[in-house]
Amino acid sequence: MAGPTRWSRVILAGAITGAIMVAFGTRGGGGEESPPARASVVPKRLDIPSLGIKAPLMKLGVTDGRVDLPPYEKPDTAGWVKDSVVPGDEGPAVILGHVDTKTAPAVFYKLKDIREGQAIKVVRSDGKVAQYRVDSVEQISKSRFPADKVYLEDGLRLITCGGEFDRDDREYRDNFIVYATLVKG
Amino acid sequence: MPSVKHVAVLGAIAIFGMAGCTAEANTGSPSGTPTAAPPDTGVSREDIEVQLQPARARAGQKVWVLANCPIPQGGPEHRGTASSRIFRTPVTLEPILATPTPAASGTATPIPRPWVRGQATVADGTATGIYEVNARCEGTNDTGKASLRIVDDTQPSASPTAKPSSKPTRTIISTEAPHTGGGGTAAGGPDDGSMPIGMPGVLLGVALAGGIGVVIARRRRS
Repeated sequence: MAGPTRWSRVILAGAITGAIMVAFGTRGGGGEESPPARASVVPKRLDIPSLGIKAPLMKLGVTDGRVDLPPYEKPDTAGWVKDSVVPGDEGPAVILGHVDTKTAPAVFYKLKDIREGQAIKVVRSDGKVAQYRVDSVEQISKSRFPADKVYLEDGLRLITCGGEFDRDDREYRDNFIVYATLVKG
Repeated sequence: MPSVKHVAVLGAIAIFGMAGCTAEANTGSPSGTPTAAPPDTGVSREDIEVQLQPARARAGQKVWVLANCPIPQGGPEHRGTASSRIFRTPVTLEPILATPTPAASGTATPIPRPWVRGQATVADGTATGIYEVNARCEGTNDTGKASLRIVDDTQPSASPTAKPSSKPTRTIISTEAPHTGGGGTAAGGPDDGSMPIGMPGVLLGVALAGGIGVVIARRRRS
Protein backbone atom coordinates (compact mmCIF):
# COMPACT_ATOMS: atom_id res chain seq x y z
CA MET A 1 0.00 0.00 0.00
CA ALA A 2 0.85 3.71 -0.14
CA GLY A 3 1.00 4.02 3.66
CA PRO A 4 4.50 2.67 4.40
CA THR A 5 6.17 4.53 1.53
CA ARG A 6 4.56 7.78 2.54
CA TRP A 7 5.77 7.36 6.10
CA SER A 8 9.27 6.51 5.00
CA ARG A 9 9.29 9.61 2.84
CA VAL A 10 8.23 11.74 5.77
CA ILE A 11 10.96 10.21 7.93
CA LEU A 12 13.54 10.69 5.21
CA ALA A 13 12.53 14.33 4.78
CA GLY A 14 12.78 14.85 8.52
CA ALA A 15 16.21 13.27 8.62
CA ILE A 16 17.46 15.46 5.79
CA THR A 17 16.07 18.59 7.44
CA GLY A 18 17.74 17.59 10.69
CA ALA A 19 21.07 17.00 8.96
CA ILE A 20 20.90 20.41 7.28
CA MET A 21 20.07 22.11 10.55
CA VAL A 22 22.96 20.42 12.29
CA ALA A 23 25.29 21.36 9.45
CA PHE A 24 24.26 25.01 9.57
CA GLY A 25 24.17 25.12 13.34
CA THR A 26 27.75 24.01 13.80
CA ARG A 27 29.23 26.01 10.97
CA GLY A 28 28.78 29.48 12.46
CA GLY A 29 30.00 28.71 15.95
CA GLY A 30 33.08 26.63 15.57
CA GLY A 31 35.44 28.76 13.56
CA GLU A 32 37.90 26.03 12.69
CA GLU A 33 35.47 23.64 11.00
CA SER A 34 35.12 25.67 7.85
CA PRO A 35 38.38 25.68 5.94
CA PRO A 36 40.07 29.05 6.50
CA ALA A 37 40.93 30.90 3.35
CA ARG A 38 43.97 32.85 4.47
CA ALA A 39 45.63 31.43 7.53
CA SER A 40 45.25 28.10 9.22
CA VAL A 41 45.33 29.48 12.74
CA VAL A 42 42.18 31.01 14.21
CA PRO A 43 41.34 32.38 17.65
CA LYS A 44 38.99 30.05 19.46
CA ARG A 45 38.15 31.57 22.79
CA LEU A 46 38.27 34.92 24.54
CA ASP A 47 39.00 35.00 28.24
CA ILE A 48 38.75 38.11 30.45
CA PRO A 49 39.30 36.79 33.98
CA SER A 50 38.57 40.08 35.75
CA LEU A 51 35.06 40.20 34.27
CA GLY A 52 34.40 36.47 34.24
CA ILE A 53 33.98 36.52 30.48
CA LYS A 54 34.76 33.28 28.65
CA ALA A 55 33.43 33.45 25.17
CA PRO A 56 33.73 31.20 22.15
CA LEU A 57 34.81 33.07 19.05
CA MET A 58 33.39 32.85 15.57
CA LYS A 59 34.80 34.32 12.40
CA LEU A 60 33.28 37.49 11.00
CA GLY A 61 33.49 38.48 7.37
CA VAL A 62 32.69 41.80 5.77
CA THR A 63 29.53 42.45 3.76
CA ASP A 64 29.09 45.68 1.81
CA GLY A 65 31.83 47.41 3.76
CA ARG A 66 30.27 46.49 7.07
CA VAL A 67 31.68 43.87 9.39
CA ASP A 68 29.25 41.01 10.02
CA LEU A 69 27.97 40.51 13.54
CA PRO A 70 27.54 37.42 15.66
CA PRO A 71 23.88 36.33 15.48
CA TYR A 72 21.58 37.31 18.33
CA GLU A 73 20.78 33.61 18.62
CA LYS A 74 24.28 33.12 20.02
CA PRO A 75 24.43 35.93 22.55
CA ASP A 76 27.44 34.46 24.36
CA THR A 77 29.60 34.22 21.25
CA ALA A 78 31.96 37.02 20.27
CA GLY A 79 33.36 37.40 16.79
CA TRP A 80 36.85 37.85 15.41
CA VAL A 81 37.08 39.99 12.28
CA LYS A 82 38.82 37.50 10.04
CA ASP A 83 40.53 40.16 7.94
CA SER A 84 42.31 41.43 11.04
CA VAL A 85 45.35 39.56 12.38
CA VAL A 86 45.04 36.49 14.55
CA PRO A 87 45.37 37.66 18.16
CA GLY A 88 48.92 36.98 19.29
CA ASP A 89 50.37 38.00 15.94
CA GLU A 90 51.81 41.41 15.29
CA GLY A 91 49.24 43.94 14.10
CA PRO A 92 45.65 44.95 14.70
CA ALA A 93 43.29 42.20 15.88
CA VAL A 94 39.62 43.05 16.24
CA ILE A 95 36.91 41.24 18.19
CA LEU A 96 33.25 42.35 18.26
CA GLY A 97 30.54 41.32 20.65
CA HIS A 98 27.01 42.40 21.42
CA VAL A 99 26.32 44.29 24.62
CA ASP A 100 22.80 42.90 24.56
CA THR A 101 20.25 41.29 22.30
CA LYS A 102 16.78 42.71 21.85
CA THR A 103 15.77 41.18 25.14
CA ALA A 104 18.74 40.26 27.31
CA PRO A 105 22.38 40.96 28.15
CA ALA A 106 24.94 39.46 25.77
CA VAL A 107 28.62 38.54 25.82
CA PHE A 108 30.04 42.06 26.24
CA TYR A 109 27.40 43.31 28.68
CA LYS A 110 30.04 43.76 31.38
CA LEU A 111 32.82 44.97 29.10
CA LYS A 112 32.41 48.58 30.18
CA ASP A 113 33.60 47.58 33.65
CA ILE A 114 37.04 46.70 32.32
CA ARG A 115 39.95 48.76 33.64
CA GLU A 116 43.38 49.70 32.42
CA GLY A 117 46.00 47.08 33.16
CA GLN A 118 43.59 44.16 33.25
CA ALA A 119 44.39 41.03 31.25
CA ILE A 120 42.71 39.71 28.13
CA LYS A 121 43.60 36.27 26.84
CA VAL A 122 42.80 34.69 23.51
CA VAL A 123 43.16 30.94 23.04
CA ARG A 124 44.16 30.00 19.51
CA SER A 125 43.62 26.89 17.46
CA ASP A 126 47.38 26.23 17.50
CA GLY A 127 47.30 25.98 21.28
CA LYS A 128 49.00 29.32 21.90
CA VAL A 129 47.45 31.75 24.33
CA ALA A 130 47.82 35.38 23.33
CA GLN A 131 47.97 37.66 26.33
CA TYR A 132 47.06 41.31 26.17
CA ARG A 133 46.94 44.11 28.71
CA VAL A 134 44.31 46.84 28.55
CA ASP A 135 45.79 50.22 27.63
CA SER A 136 42.71 52.34 27.40
CA VAL A 137 39.00 52.33 26.85
CA GLU A 138 36.94 54.71 24.81
CA GLN A 139 33.28 55.45 24.40
CA ILE A 140 32.73 57.26 21.16
CA SER A 141 29.80 58.25 18.98
CA LYS A 142 29.20 55.83 16.11
CA SER A 143 29.36 58.78 13.75
CA ARG A 144 32.98 59.24 14.78
CA PHE A 145 34.00 55.60 14.76
CA PRO A 146 37.82 55.67 14.84
CA ALA A 147 38.35 53.18 12.02
CA ASP A 148 42.02 54.02 11.61
CA LYS A 149 42.83 53.55 15.28
CA VAL A 150 40.89 50.29 15.37
CA TYR A 151 42.10 48.69 12.16
CA LEU A 152 45.57 50.16 11.60
CA GLU A 153 47.35 50.31 14.94
CA ASP A 154 48.92 47.36 16.72
CA GLY A 155 47.01 45.56 19.40
CA LEU A 156 43.75 43.90 20.27
CA ARG A 157 40.49 45.83 20.13
CA LEU A 158 37.27 44.68 21.73
CA ILE A 159 34.25 46.52 20.42
CA THR A 160 30.68 46.66 21.61
CA CYS A 161 27.89 49.20 21.86
CA GLY A 162 27.26 51.73 24.57
CA GLY A 163 25.68 55.00 25.48
CA GLU A 164 22.09 55.83 24.91
CA PHE A 165 19.83 53.54 22.89
CA ASP A 166 18.29 55.43 20.01
CA ARG A 167 14.81 54.00 19.67
CA ASP A 168 14.26 55.52 16.25
CA ASP A 169 17.45 54.07 14.79
CA ARG A 170 17.12 50.96 16.96
CA GLU A 171 20.75 51.10 17.83
CA TYR A 172 23.03 52.43 20.51
CA ARG A 173 24.49 55.83 19.76
CA ASP A 174 28.03 54.97 20.83
CA ASN A 175 30.64 52.30 20.51
CA PHE A 176 32.62 51.17 23.52
CA ILE A 177 36.13 50.18 22.50
CA VAL A 178 38.86 48.51 24.55
CA TYR A 179 42.45 48.92 23.34
CA ALA A 180 44.97 46.35 24.54
CA THR A 181 48.65 45.69 23.91
CA LEU A 182 50.19 42.31 23.26
CA VAL A 183 52.17 41.16 26.26
CA LYS A 184 52.92 37.60 25.23
CA GLY A 185 52.19 36.08 21.84
CA MET B 1 -19.99 50.66 40.41
CA PRO B 2 -19.02 50.06 36.80
CA SER B 3 -18.24 53.77 36.47
CA VAL B 4 -15.94 53.58 39.50
CA LYS B 5 -14.14 50.69 37.87
CA HIS B 6 -13.90 52.70 34.69
CA VAL B 7 -12.29 55.61 36.46
CA ALA B 8 -9.91 53.30 38.29
CA VAL B 9 -8.81 51.70 35.05
CA LEU B 10 -8.35 55.06 33.38
CA GLY B 11 -6.35 56.26 36.36
CA ALA B 12 -4.18 53.18 36.21
CA ILE B 13 -3.56 53.75 32.50
CA ALA B 14 -2.62 57.35 33.16
CA ILE B 15 -0.14 56.27 35.82
CA PHE B 16 1.25 53.61 33.51
CA GLY B 17 1.83 56.26 30.92
CA MET B 18 3.57 58.52 33.39
CA ALA B 19 5.71 55.68 34.64
CA GLY B 20 6.74 55.05 31.07
CA CYS B 21 7.76 58.65 30.67
CA THR B 22 9.78 58.55 33.85
CA ALA B 23 11.59 55.46 32.66
CA GLU B 24 12.32 57.21 29.40
CA ALA B 25 13.70 60.24 31.13
CA ASN B 26 16.20 58.03 32.87
CA THR B 27 17.63 56.60 29.69
CA GLY B 28 20.41 59.15 29.57
CA SER B 29 23.51 57.09 30.25
CA PRO B 30 25.03 58.22 33.53
CA SER B 31 27.99 55.91 32.99
CA GLY B 32 28.81 57.48 29.66
CA THR B 33 32.42 58.50 29.83
CA PRO B 34 33.01 61.72 28.01
CA THR B 35 34.86 61.14 24.80
CA ALA B 36 38.08 62.90 24.09
CA ALA B 37 37.66 66.54 23.29
CA PRO B 38 37.60 67.10 19.55
CA PRO B 39 40.54 68.87 18.00
CA ASP B 40 40.48 72.60 18.33
CA THR B 41 37.98 73.86 15.84
CA GLY B 42 38.85 77.44 15.96
CA VAL B 43 37.82 80.92 16.34
CA SER B 44 34.45 82.16 15.34
CA ARG B 45 31.41 80.83 17.15
CA GLU B 46 29.84 80.21 13.77
CA ASP B 47 32.49 77.69 12.83
CA ILE B 48 31.35 74.13 12.49
CA GLU B 49 33.23 71.34 14.18
CA VAL B 50 35.87 69.64 12.07
CA GLN B 51 37.74 66.53 13.11
CA LEU B 52 40.72 64.75 11.69
CA GLN B 53 41.40 61.07 12.12
CA PRO B 54 44.22 60.74 12.83
CA ALA B 55 45.10 64.26 13.93
CA ARG B 56 48.79 63.55 13.26
CA ALA B 57 50.06 61.91 10.13
CA ARG B 58 53.07 61.48 7.90
CA ALA B 59 53.54 62.70 4.37
CA GLY B 60 51.78 60.35 1.96
CA GLN B 61 49.35 59.07 4.57
CA LYS B 62 45.58 59.18 4.34
CA VAL B 63 43.54 61.20 6.77
CA TRP B 64 39.81 61.22 7.36
CA VAL B 65 38.24 64.65 7.54
CA LEU B 66 34.91 64.84 9.33
CA ALA B 67 32.82 67.98 9.35
CA ASN B 68 29.65 68.53 11.33
CA CYS B 69 27.73 70.13 8.49
CA PRO B 70 24.10 70.99 9.24
CA ILE B 71 21.61 69.24 6.99
CA PRO B 72 20.46 71.87 4.50
CA GLN B 73 16.76 72.63 4.15
CA GLY B 74 15.19 71.69 0.87
CA GLY B 75 17.23 71.39 -2.28
CA PRO B 76 20.99 71.25 -1.79
CA GLU B 77 22.65 68.00 -0.95
CA HIS B 78 24.21 67.37 2.42
CA ARG B 79 27.87 67.36 1.60
CA GLY B 80 30.99 69.42 1.87
CA THR B 81 34.54 69.85 0.74
CA ALA B 82 37.79 69.85 2.64
CA SER B 83 40.98 71.45 1.46
CA SER B 84 44.44 72.12 2.69
CA ARG B 85 47.62 73.14 0.98
CA ILE B 86 49.13 69.83 2.01
CA PHE B 87 46.36 67.72 0.47
CA ARG B 88 47.00 66.39 -2.98
CA THR B 89 43.52 67.45 -4.02
CA PRO B 90 40.52 68.86 -2.22
CA VAL B 91 38.19 66.11 -1.12
CA THR B 92 34.43 65.82 -1.18
CA LEU B 93 32.82 65.08 2.15
CA GLU B 94 29.85 62.75 1.97
CA PRO B 95 27.20 62.07 4.59
CA ILE B 96 27.76 59.20 6.96
CA LEU B 97 24.85 56.85 6.59
CA ALA B 98 23.72 55.04 9.63
CA THR B 99 21.62 52.00 8.96
CA PRO B 100 19.72 50.32 11.76
CA THR B 101 20.86 47.00 13.10
CA PRO B 102 20.63 44.19 10.55
CA ALA B 103 18.14 42.34 12.71
CA ALA B 104 15.79 45.28 12.61
CA SER B 105 15.43 45.18 8.87
CA GLY B 106 12.16 46.02 7.25
CA THR B 107 11.86 49.53 8.57
CA ALA B 108 15.42 50.13 7.52
CA THR B 109 16.13 53.22 5.55
CA PRO B 110 19.51 54.82 6.08
CA ILE B 111 19.35 57.93 8.18
CA PRO B 112 21.92 60.63 7.43
CA ARG B 113 23.82 61.92 10.42
CA PRO B 114 24.87 65.54 10.43
CA TRP B 115 28.49 64.53 9.91
CA VAL B 116 30.02 64.40 6.47
CA ARG B 117 33.40 62.90 5.82
CA GLY B 118 36.00 62.18 3.20
CA GLN B 119 39.48 60.80 2.97
CA ALA B 120 42.38 63.00 1.93
CA THR B 121 45.96 62.09 1.16
CA VAL B 122 48.78 64.20 2.53
CA ALA B 123 51.10 65.17 -0.32
CA ASP B 124 54.44 63.40 -0.45
CA GLY B 125 57.32 65.46 0.76
CA THR B 126 55.26 67.56 3.12
CA ALA B 127 57.54 68.99 5.80
CA THR B 128 56.80 68.40 9.44
CA GLY B 129 54.69 71.04 11.08
CA ILE B 130 51.11 71.99 11.82
CA TYR B 131 48.84 72.77 8.91
CA GLU B 132 45.34 74.08 8.65
CA VAL B 133 42.59 71.96 7.10
CA ASN B 134 39.50 73.86 5.99
CA ALA B 135 36.08 72.38 5.49
CA ARG B 136 33.10 74.00 3.83
CA CYS B 137 29.54 72.75 3.77
CA GLU B 138 27.71 72.93 0.51
CA GLY B 139 24.26 74.41 0.69
CA THR B 140 24.68 76.13 4.02
CA ASN B 141 28.17 77.53 3.39
CA ASP B 142 29.23 76.84 6.94
CA THR B 143 32.95 76.60 7.37
CA GLY B 144 35.30 75.21 9.94
CA LYS B 145 38.87 74.19 10.35
CA ALA B 146 41.17 71.89 12.22
CA SER B 147 44.89 71.44 12.57
CA LEU B 148 46.80 68.53 11.14
CA ARG B 149 50.19 67.80 12.56
CA ILE B 150 52.62 66.29 10.11
CA VAL B 151 55.31 64.22 11.77
CA ASP B 152 58.65 63.06 10.44
CA ASP B 153 58.10 60.20 8.02
CA THR B 154 61.57 58.83 8.58
CA GLN B 155 60.98 58.14 12.23
CA PRO B 156 60.72 54.46 13.08
CA SER B 157 57.32 52.87 13.48
CA ALA B 158 55.80 52.35 16.88
CA SER B 159 57.33 48.91 17.30
CA PRO B 160 60.89 48.89 16.06
CA THR B 161 61.39 45.26 17.07
CA ALA B 162 58.75 44.04 14.65
CA LYS B 163 60.11 42.02 11.80
CA PRO B 164 59.01 43.61 8.54
CA SER B 165 58.34 40.19 7.05
CA SER B 166 55.78 39.36 9.70
CA LYS B 167 53.88 42.60 9.17
CA PRO B 168 50.51 42.04 7.62
CA THR B 169 49.20 44.52 5.14
CA ARG B 170 47.04 46.93 7.00
CA THR B 171 43.83 48.27 5.68
CA ILE B 172 40.83 49.88 7.22
CA ILE B 173 38.59 46.85 7.00
CA SER B 174 35.47 48.87 7.60
CA THR B 175 34.75 52.47 8.43
CA GLU B 176 31.32 51.60 9.70
CA ALA B 177 30.63 51.52 13.40
CA PRO B 178 29.49 48.02 14.41
CA HIS B 179 25.93 47.77 15.67
CA THR B 180 26.69 45.49 18.53
CA GLY B 181 23.55 45.70 20.56
CA GLY B 182 19.84 45.09 20.37
CA GLY B 183 18.83 47.41 23.16
CA GLY B 184 17.33 44.73 25.36
CA THR B 185 19.05 46.08 28.45
CA ALA B 186 18.62 49.74 27.63
CA ALA B 187 16.13 51.62 29.75
CA GLY B 188 12.96 51.79 27.72
CA GLY B 189 13.92 48.83 25.59
CA PRO B 190 14.08 48.49 21.84
CA ASP B 191 10.36 48.45 21.22
CA ASP B 192 9.47 51.28 23.46
CA GLY B 193 6.54 52.36 21.35
CA SER B 194 4.62 49.20 22.08
CA MET B 195 5.99 48.48 25.53
CA PRO B 196 6.39 51.78 27.32
CA ILE B 197 6.02 50.43 30.83
CA GLY B 198 9.09 48.60 32.06
CA MET B 199 9.49 46.83 35.38
CA PRO B 200 9.18 49.85 37.69
CA GLY B 201 6.04 50.86 35.84
CA VAL B 202 4.55 47.40 36.21
CA LEU B 203 5.27 47.32 39.93
CA LEU B 204 3.83 50.78 40.42
CA GLY B 205 0.77 49.85 38.41
CA VAL B 206 0.19 46.69 40.41
CA ALA B 207 0.57 48.54 43.69
CA LEU B 208 -1.81 51.24 42.52
CA ALA B 209 -4.39 48.77 41.29
CA GLY B 210 -4.17 47.04 44.68
CA GLY B 211 -4.72 50.33 46.46
CA ILE B 212 -7.71 51.19 44.32
CA GLY B 213 -9.11 47.74 44.96
CA VAL B 214 -8.84 48.25 48.71
CA VAL B 215 -10.57 51.60 48.49
CA ILE B 216 -13.39 50.16 46.39
CA ALA B 217 -13.78 47.23 48.73
CA ARG B 218 -14.02 49.54 51.75
CA ARG B 219 -16.59 51.72 50.04
CA ARG B 220 -18.66 48.71 49.21
CA ARG B 221 -18.60 47.53 52.80
CA SER B 222 -19.64 50.88 54.23
